[in-house]
Amino acid sequence: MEKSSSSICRGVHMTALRTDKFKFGLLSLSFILPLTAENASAANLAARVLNRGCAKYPTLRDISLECDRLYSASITAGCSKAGEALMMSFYVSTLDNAYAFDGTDVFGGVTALLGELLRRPLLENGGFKREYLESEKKNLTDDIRAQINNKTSYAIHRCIALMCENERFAVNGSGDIDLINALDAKTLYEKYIDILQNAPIEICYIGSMEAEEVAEKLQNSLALTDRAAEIPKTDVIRKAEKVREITETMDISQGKLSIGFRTGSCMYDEDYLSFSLFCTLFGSSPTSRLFLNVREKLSLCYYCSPVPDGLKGTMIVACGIDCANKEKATEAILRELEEVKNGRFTDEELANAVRAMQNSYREAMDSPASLSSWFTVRSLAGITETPEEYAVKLNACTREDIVRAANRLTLDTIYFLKGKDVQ
Amino acid sequence: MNEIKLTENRSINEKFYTLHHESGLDIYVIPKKHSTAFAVFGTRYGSADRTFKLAGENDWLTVPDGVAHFLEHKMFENEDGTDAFSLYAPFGGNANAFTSFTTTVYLFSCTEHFDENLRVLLSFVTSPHFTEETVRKEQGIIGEEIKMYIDNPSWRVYFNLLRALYVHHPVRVDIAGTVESIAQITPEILYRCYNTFYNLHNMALCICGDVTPEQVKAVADAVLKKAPDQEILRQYPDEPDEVCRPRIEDRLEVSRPLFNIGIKVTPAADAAERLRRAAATDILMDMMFGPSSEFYLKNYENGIISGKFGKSFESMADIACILFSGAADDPDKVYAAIREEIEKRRREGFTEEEFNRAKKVFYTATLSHFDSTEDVANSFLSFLFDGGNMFDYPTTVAETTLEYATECFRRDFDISRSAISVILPIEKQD
Repeated sequence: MEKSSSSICRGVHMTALRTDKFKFGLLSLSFILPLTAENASAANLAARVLNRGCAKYPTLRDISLECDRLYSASITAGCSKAGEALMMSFYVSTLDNAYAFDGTDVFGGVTALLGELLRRPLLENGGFKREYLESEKKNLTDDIRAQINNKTSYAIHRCIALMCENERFAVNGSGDIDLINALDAKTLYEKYIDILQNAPIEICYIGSMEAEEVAEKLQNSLALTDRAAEIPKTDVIRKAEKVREITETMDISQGKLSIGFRTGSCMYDEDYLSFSLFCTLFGSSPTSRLFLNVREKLSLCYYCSPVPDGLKGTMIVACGIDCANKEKATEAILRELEEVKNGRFTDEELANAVRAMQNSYREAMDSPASLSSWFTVRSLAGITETPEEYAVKLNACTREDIVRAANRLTLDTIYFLKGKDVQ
Repeated sequence: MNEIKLTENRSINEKFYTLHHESGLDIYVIPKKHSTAFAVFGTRYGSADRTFKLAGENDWLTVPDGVAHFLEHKMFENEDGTDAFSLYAPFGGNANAFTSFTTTVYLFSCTEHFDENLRVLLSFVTSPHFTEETVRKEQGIIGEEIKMYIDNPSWRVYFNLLRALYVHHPVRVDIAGTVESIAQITPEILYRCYNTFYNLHNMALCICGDVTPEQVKAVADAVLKKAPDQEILRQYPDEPDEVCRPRIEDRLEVSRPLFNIGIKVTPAADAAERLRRAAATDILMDMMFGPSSEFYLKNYENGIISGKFGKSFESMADIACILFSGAADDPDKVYAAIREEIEKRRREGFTEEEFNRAKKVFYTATLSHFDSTEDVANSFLSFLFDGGNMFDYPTTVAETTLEYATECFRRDFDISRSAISVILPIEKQD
C-alpha cells in the first residue's frame, strides 16, 4: 500500500493510500469545525438537507438512481466528534473502474455527483428548500431523542455530559434540539457556505487510483479554494479535581455503570502510545484485567470495557451489571486499576497486550473504513503515521511506560443508570 | 477424500479450495492477499435444535432453551482452568464466537502466526470440558447478557415479531434462553449436545486470507481425529401457514415507536431453489422498497418513514420471512403503505427497466462482500450451511429473470400472512 500526503490547496489536505486489494474504493471528505452546539446543529442539519436533493438531481430518488447508474455507488453524510472538534463528513464508496464492464468512469461520475450536491444545492429564495429543511429538522431531532434507546451508549454519553458539563466536550455531536428547530432556510444556507469556503478539510482516499488523478478529479468537481482557518484544538484537563457520583433511574432490567477518568494522556503527547497500550492491558481485550476479573472471575457482567477519547484525555469504563452490584463492580474496577498502577502485572500480560494491539493495527490496514477514520482523527493532532507504523513502534514499549501512563489517571465521575425497582 | 480441489470464478476474480479432510471435516480456503487472515469453524447446531437424537437411538431428547449458546460460552474454558483466549494470546489471535438459530461458530482473525492460531481453534473446539462449578459461574455472565438484550429495543421488537409470525417454531425463543431455562443446564446436557452436534461430519472450516490449503491441511492432520460417522435426526414442530398473532405491542424506554413488520414465507425444500428465490426476493425488495423506488420517495417525503427504514429477506431451511424495520411516529401507517405497494404491484407488475436497474445494483452489492476476509469467511460458511455456495450467488443474481421474480412475488408477498411488532414508549405518569 503506497501512502501519499498532499495539499490540494491551502487548508485542504489529502492522505491517499493506493492499493489493488479492494473491489470498492472509499473517499472521505471531512470539514473540521470547533465543537459547539451551534456548529453541531448547523452541520448535522445541513449535511442531511444537502443529501435530499441538488439542482441537477432534485429528489432523493434522483440521487439514488444516479448512484445506481454508477454501479451501486453510495454517498452518505454524517457528523461525528473527536475531542473538541466536529467533523462533517461525506463518504463516497465506488466500485473500482476495473469491474465496470462498460468502461464507465465510476469514480469520475461519483465525484461529479458529490460536486453537484455540495456546490449546487436545491435553493428557494436564497436559502435551502423549505420542505427539505423542515422534514430533516424532524428526522434529526427524532434521532437525537432516540439516543436514549441504546442504554449502553446513553450511559457513556451521560457520564461525559456530566463529567465535562462546563467544557465543550459535553456538547452533543448531533446538535441541540432547540437550536436546530430555530434554524431558518437562509441562515443555515449561509452557515453552510461559510463551512464550504472556510473550514479546514481532511480527505482520505483508499483505492486503486493514483493520488494525482484523485486530486485532479476532486478539484474538477469541487473547485475547493484556499482557507485560512486552523484545525481546532482540544482543551485537555489533565487531572480531576474531585470525584462526583450521580445516579439516575430508568425503566430497565440491567444497570449501566459508567466510570469516568481524566487520563492525563492525549494524542498531542509524544508517548500517547503508552496510554493506548495501558488501555489494552487494562480492559480492551479478552486477556485484560477487566475481562479476566470483573467478568470471568466475579461473573459481574457480560461486558466491561474502557472507552477512551484520545484528544480529550478522558476514559469511560462502561459496564452492564445487575443493579444490586454497583458498589461491588466499582470496587473491582478500581482495584484492577490500582494493581496496574503498582506494576502488579506479569510480563506475559504485557506481551499479550502488545501482540493484541499489533494485530489490531495491522488488521486496520485491511479496512478502508478504519483507515479513513484513523487518518481523519489523527490529522487533528498532526499525526501522519499509518496503523502499521504504530504496530512497529509498540515493540519499544516497556512495563515502565504502562505504569507511568496508568499513574496519570485520576477518577472523576461515577455515573450509574439503575432500574426502577432498585433502592 | 483428502484431495485439494480448486474452483475459480473468473468473472469476479475470486477462487477457493475445497478439502474433504479424512477426519470428516470439510475445509474451504479462499486465498486473498490481505494482512488479516480470518477463520471460522462452525457446527450446524443452533438455538432451534432443541429436539434431536442420533440415528439408532430410541428416544428424542428435548433440551432447555439456550443450550447451544451456553455451550458456546463454555467451550472457551480449558480443563486446567485457563481459557482459550489465553491460548491465542501468545500468537496475537483475536477470537470470538456466536450462536444463531441454526449454527454455532468459533472464529479468529490474525495478522501473523496463522498456523499456531488455527491449531488453537481446532484444538479447543474439539476438547470439551464442563463441570458443575464452571456451569454455575457462566449462569451469572449469561444472565447479564440476557438482561442486556431485554433492554435492547431493536432486539425486543425483532423477537416479538418472530413470536407473532411463528406458532410453534423454536425461533420464537431467545437464542440465549431465559434466566430460568439456563438454570436447568447441567454438564450432562452439555456433553450430550456436544457429542451429538460437534461431530466433524456436521461441521465446516472456512478460511480467508493469505494462506494456502496445504498449510491448513497440515494443521488439520496434526490436530483432528477421525470422527465417527453418525446421522443426526432433528425434530421441528409443524408450523402452520397462518401467523400466530397479527400484532404484538410492548413498552420500553424509547423516544418513539419502533416496528418490525414481517411476511411469513414458505421456503423451497431444495437448496438451489432457495438460493434462486433469495436472489429474486432481494431484487424485488430493492425495486419496491429501496431508495430508488417511488414507495421510498413518497413515504420519506411525507414523513411516514425515515432514513432508518430497513428491509431484508431471511431464509433458513424450514422457515423464511420478509422483514421491514424502523422507527416511526405511526407504525400502522408504514404497514398500510407496504400493503398498498404490494397490492399496486399485483395489479401493475414490474417494468423491465426497473428490474434491470435493481438487478445491476444487487449484483454489484454481492461483489462488496468479497472485500473483507471476515465477510468472505462468514458468508461462505453461511451459504454452505444452507446448502449453497457464496461464489455462485453473483451468477444466480445475474441469471434471475423478470418472469421468475414476478412468480416469486405472487407466491411469497402474501400480506394475509403478515404481522407487526411494535415497541412503544412507556406511558409517563404525571
